[in-house]
This record gives sequence, C-alpha cells and structure tokens, in this order.
Amino acid sequence: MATKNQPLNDPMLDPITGEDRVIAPGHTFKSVTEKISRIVLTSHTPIGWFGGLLLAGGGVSMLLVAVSWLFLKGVGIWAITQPVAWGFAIINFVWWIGIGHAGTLISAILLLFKQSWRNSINRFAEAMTIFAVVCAGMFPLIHVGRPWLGYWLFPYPNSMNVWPQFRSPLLWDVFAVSTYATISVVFWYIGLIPDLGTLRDRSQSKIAQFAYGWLALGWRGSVRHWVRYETASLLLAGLATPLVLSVHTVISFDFAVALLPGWHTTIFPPYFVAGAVYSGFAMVITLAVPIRKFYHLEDVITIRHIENMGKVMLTTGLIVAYGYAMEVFMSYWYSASHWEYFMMWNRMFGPMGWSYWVLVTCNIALPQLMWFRAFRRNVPLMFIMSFIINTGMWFERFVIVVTSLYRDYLPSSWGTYRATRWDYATFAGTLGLFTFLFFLFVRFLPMIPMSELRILLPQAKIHAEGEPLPEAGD
Amino acid sequence: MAQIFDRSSNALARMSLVLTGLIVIALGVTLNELQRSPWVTRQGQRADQPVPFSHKHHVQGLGLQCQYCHTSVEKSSYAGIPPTKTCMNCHAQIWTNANLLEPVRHSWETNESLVWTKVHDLPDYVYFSHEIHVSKGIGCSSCHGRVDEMPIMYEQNTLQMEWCLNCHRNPEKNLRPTGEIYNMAWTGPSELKPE
Repeated sequence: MATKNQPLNDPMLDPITGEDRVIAPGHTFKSVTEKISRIVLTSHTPIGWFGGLLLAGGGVSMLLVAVSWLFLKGVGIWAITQPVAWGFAIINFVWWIGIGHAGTLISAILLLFKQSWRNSINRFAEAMTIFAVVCAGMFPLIHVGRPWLGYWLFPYPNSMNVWPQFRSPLLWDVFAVSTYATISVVFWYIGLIPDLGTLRDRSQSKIAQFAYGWLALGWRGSVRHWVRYETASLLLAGLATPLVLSVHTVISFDFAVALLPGWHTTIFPPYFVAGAVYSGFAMVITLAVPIRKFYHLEDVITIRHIENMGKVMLTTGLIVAYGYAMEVFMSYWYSASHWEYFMMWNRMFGPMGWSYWVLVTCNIALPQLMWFRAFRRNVPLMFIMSFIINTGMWFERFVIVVTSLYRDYLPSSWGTYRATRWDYATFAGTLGLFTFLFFLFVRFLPMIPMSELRILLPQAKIHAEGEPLPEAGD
Repeated sequence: MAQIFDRSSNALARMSLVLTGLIVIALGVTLNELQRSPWVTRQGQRADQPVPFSHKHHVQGLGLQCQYCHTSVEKSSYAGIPPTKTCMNCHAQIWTNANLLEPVRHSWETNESLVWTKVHDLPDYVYFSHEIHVSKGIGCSSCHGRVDEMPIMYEQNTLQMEWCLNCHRNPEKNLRPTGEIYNMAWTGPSELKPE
C-alpha cells in the first residue's frame, strides 16, 4: 500500500516491503562513523552554531535575571494569587516533563518493541529528555515561596525529627522527577559509551582523546562488553518504560488527587501520559527537522522517521482527544454534578474560554491532517505541525491548571489570572536554557548513535552463502 | 601512536571508586555536623555579657533559690531575667566599689536596662512555656544543666526539635517530684540513667 504512488525503483524504498528506509543506501560502517563523528570532531565549528548558542545564551541570561529577581522579591512577582495559586510555573513544569517523555519512549519503549527506526533518533531524543527534565525540575524548586528550604522535601534524618508527608503527590513528584532524571542520564550515558570510544579513537587532539577516553571508561568493544551492554540497555529500557508511565502519572496526581472540579478525574493518569508522548514527539520533530537540514543528515534521519513520528503523534493525539471528549461527557452530562457541569461550561464559554478553543484547534482539529500520508511525509508541514502541537499541549496544561482554579465552588472566591512579564521571562528563559544545553550537546557529543546505526547496515547482518545482501533498514 | 592513558591510570580509576565512597561518607559527616555540632547549636559557648554574672557563686556559694531572681518561672511562659533592682537589693551594700559591678550601678542611676545576651535563644516560631514544664515536674537542671556549677552561663543542651521531642515522647525519664524542681543536684530514681 505504501508504494501506491511511488516509483518501484526508488532507492529510498525497500523493494521487498515497500517501506521507506531508515538509512539511505550506500552507507558503510566507515561512512556512517565518518559522517556523525565529523560533526563533533571538526575544527571548523559552523558559524550558525555560534549564533544559535549566543541566542540561547541570551535566553539563559534572561532566566538568571528572572530567577534572581524572583528569589529577591518573592513569588509575588508572578501573577499567582488566590484563587489561582498555581500558574505558569506548574504549567511549564508539566509541559517540560511531558516533552521529556518522548525521549524515553523512543529510547526505551521502542527498544522493547525492537523498532529499528528508533536508532537514528534515540540519542538526541534522550538528550532532549534530560534537558527538558532540567528545565522542568527547576520549576518545583523555584515556585515555592522559600526555595532555600527545598531540601526539606527529601527524607533525611534531621535535627527536627521531621519527615516529609508521603501522602502528597507533590512529594511523589520529587521522587518521580529525581528518579526520572537519574535513570535518563544513566541510560543516555551507557548508550554513549561505545560512541565515546569511537570519538576517542578518531580524534586527533590530545585533549579530545583524553576527554572522550576518560568518558568512554576504557571501552574496547569486545564481545563480552557488547553482551553486557545489550543486557544493561534492555534492562534499563525495561525499567524506564514503567518509569515513564508512572512519572507523568504522578505529575497528573498533583491535580487528580485534589477535590477540585476539573482536577478530580480518574482519567488523568493515562491521558496525561498520552499528552506527554504527544508533545514530546512534537518536540523531537521540532529538533530533528533543523538538525537534519543543518548537518545534512537527511540520509540517516529519513522521511521514514518523520512519518513514523507523525503516526505516533496521531495515535497519542487521538488518545488525548478521547480524554477531552470523556472529560466533557463526564462533567457536562454524566456526572450530574452541577460543579462539574459549570466547570466545563466555564472552560468552554467563560472569560478564558478562548484558551480551551486554542487547545481544541491545536491538539484535536489540526493534527487530524496527519491522517494523510502526504502530510506526514511533508517535512516543512510536519515542522509547523510540531509547533502547533506543542502550543496546544501548553494550552492543555493552562486550561487544566487555570480554568479549574479561577472559578470553583465558592463564587465569592472567583478570580482571574493574567501572567506578568516575569512569568513570560521565566518560561522563555527555560526555552533558552533548553536550547543552550542542546547546542552544547550537538557540538560535543554524537547526536546520532553511530554504533546503533552500524547495526542497521546490511554489512552487519549475517547472511547465508549465495543469498543476496540485505539492504539497510530492513 | 602512544597510548592515551598509561598504566598508572588503572590505579587512578580504581582509586576514584574508593574516593567516591569516601566523598559520600564525608558528605554524610558534614551534613550531620552542620546540623548538630556545638558550633551550630552553640552548646558550651560562653557569650559576652555586660557583667560576668556567676551562677556558681550566687547559687552554690550563697545558696540562693532559683526563683529569687527568675521570679515568673512558675507563673509565666517566660522565666524572666531579674531587673537591676534585684541586683541592687544586695549590691547597694555589698561590693559597692567593685569595678565589675559598674554597669549595674550605671543602670541603676540612669534607668537604662542592662543588655544581657540570651544564651537559650529559641526562634520566635517556638512558643515555649516555662510554667507548664515546672509545674509538671521538669526540673531546671534537666534542660539547663548544672547551672549552679556554671561560673559563666552556657547552653547545656541543643534546644533542637529532636531534643524536645525525645523528652515529649518519653517524659518519664526526666520527670521528678515537684518538690525537687529547683534541686540542681537531683539525679532521680530513673534506672535508665547510667550511674
């Protein structure tokens, strides 16, 4: 079916299955290694990289200013007040954590499903996870009024004989996010070790040899190394999969455990996870498209990847749409609770109703275009779509947080929420921090796992005598 | 091409593992010291006072009862620091020319309070009451130590929350007959106390 309008002799198509290839034909072990490692080991850093780093650095500076001012003046510089005491900080926290989840999905869940197309994108998707968790992890620390007492959230023996309250989902957040960050870094680093060995062996400068050699921990690529490496990867993937599902579940509990109409919903855990994967994949596309263009990686991040990611986004987007529909069904009609009824009516037609319709447009209406194969294969359109979805997913959290809070049980405590410049500066600042870290990653570490790409090459496959050589990406 | 890392790197790599363990231990010790060391709790530190008042001399030497000066300890949450008047009850006649007592006489003449340094200074979010402890059988020395043997006042115990809770969870170790509250030498019949 996939070959309907394609010429059969297209080199990017597998002649047997008719599927797009994961890697363009003609690559050898050496050419793949050469292509990826040159980006890191080059002595001619592209000027665009410096420009990007500078721009992102501006964002980081803005973040530093915003956070310093926050610590000096207090959280009152934000728009939060009663009744909306959770604002941009929580919205951004959930948004960033959600973005990170696609990285783990790609590196762990797709590994368990033996999806070979993940190999080209998993490294930078994992990096995306880590940097998104860095940005996300900041918010729980800075949105508290007394951030210098944040360590009280950890269960440690102290002279107060006081321990944290283990019934609070906000405490589970601490454990979920810190575990998630740790496992993500460990998984990412273990995956990097063979590639760091390659960089060590290929670099010319003494400093690079020392740095990569030190990081590669003496990797020699022996069979014994590889067996253990694969076992460890698979085990970590097995551990990371329940983790990725539970982390965003725990994040959703921040809301679902509360008694607020619009928050107290049992559908939140799976629907938040689906939303996380949805926005995460959108972010992977946002990153993948410029990367493949700028570094000419079209032959390893092929149209197959873009299309597959489109499919995953469509799937999770439909789960999210189901979530919205179910919320409307439950609250508007089936619950017979007039608080719930009012919540949904207010969400749609209240003073902040516009945010709900932005959400519906960006998350449900427009992504339906991804049903069309031609759309999924159109890189510029998918790039735009990734922005639309990330906007929509930001508004999803905005709608959940703000429109549930600003009008709840007591009409006497209805309020509103209008973000201040510091809310915007902090959010834009984390975008800068994310980009800054990502630029450093792209320059100093192999953004595509060379060892895993080499496995996909036909030369890596064992084939019987006389049998034709299999092609890449089968 | 020469090897990047020579043989000594093996030893360094192994040692780094040991070092990690040592760093973890050092971190634990440091964190504990930051919470509990006398440097933080100010246990045993002799603060500067306007007059080097000696509890040892007035209690052990002269046999004054605690409430002679700390009058409100049985009635108020605050035990009270005696006013200059209490000092002058005696020192209007005794040691009238002593240099040591010059600030006391100055305070008496000018009506300006003596600025004592608080040794047992709880944070203001703690609402401690002396009265309830004294009337329920906690003696002075249980919390303040052997004040009658202190030439200069210092803090005997940490006054940290864990210290308060240890007693509130098992008060029987420190309770004494109300007649013995001001007996600084009372050690109690508790068999838990090591002799």
